[in-house]
Amino acid sequence: MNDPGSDQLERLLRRDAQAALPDEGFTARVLGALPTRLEVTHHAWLGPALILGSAALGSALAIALAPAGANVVQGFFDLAAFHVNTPAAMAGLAMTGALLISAIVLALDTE
Amino acid sequence: MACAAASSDAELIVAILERDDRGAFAELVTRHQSKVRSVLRRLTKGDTGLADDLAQETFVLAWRNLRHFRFEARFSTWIYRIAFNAWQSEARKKREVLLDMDDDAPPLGSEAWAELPDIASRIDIERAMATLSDGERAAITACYYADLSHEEAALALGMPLGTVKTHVLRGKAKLKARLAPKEE
Repeated sequence: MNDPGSDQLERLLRRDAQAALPDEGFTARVLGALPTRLEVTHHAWLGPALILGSAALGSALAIALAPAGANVVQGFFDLAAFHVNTPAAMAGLAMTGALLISAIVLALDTE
Repeated sequence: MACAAASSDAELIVAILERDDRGAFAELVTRHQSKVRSVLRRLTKGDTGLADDLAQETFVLAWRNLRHFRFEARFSTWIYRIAFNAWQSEARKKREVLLDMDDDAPPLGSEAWAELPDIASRIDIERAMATLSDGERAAITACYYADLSHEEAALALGMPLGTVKTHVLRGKAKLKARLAPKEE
């Protein structure tokens, strides 16, 4: 089934793949480039915390800067009734948008 | 570290995760550097500088993500997957990598090829590998240089199993044609 050329090519590739490369300081360079474990742990929670913190801040600002009388809970009731032009609905939309964007960023953050 | 040198890959990984043992990680790198660098040299068409940069990036990423390693897989399979991803990311910066590219391969089953010479230099193989499409080169490299099964190669490269098999067949056909002695 196998022709001689195929067998030779198999041998050739296997032999080429077996050729060992000397380290030549490679391992030392890798170790020198490693972050500290502390830094890794630090980064692991800092990223999501920053994103969620920003989202919370954005939501708070959206509520604080909404026209007087805007109530986020009322905003969601307005949205449910398709009254999207009320100040409360706008505040609700802004907050939902901020949280949604944060959730998408977190979901896409696959390290 | 005599102790580390006698340990399995899994034991070394446990030591790293539990004690932040850099000596154990150094042993892992020493064990796998040759294969990983060889694989990346083939993928980068012999660009040794780029291949070593990507290999370094691969091991640093492995260190960062070691806690995500699943012990049911071989460490080598896992590290090759990181290496292939690093290569694909690097290649995408320059151009789109077309791992599923279906190009003009020579017809399979032709008996017209002369037998390959017993001794083909590494440079010949390197040049012949460089003529393959990205997908073919990746599949051949995964199956022969990284010593992965077709299934493992499909996982590591993120391509369907059937595509891996096709790329390997076509890649080998092209290599045979390239490495066969030229007729006068």
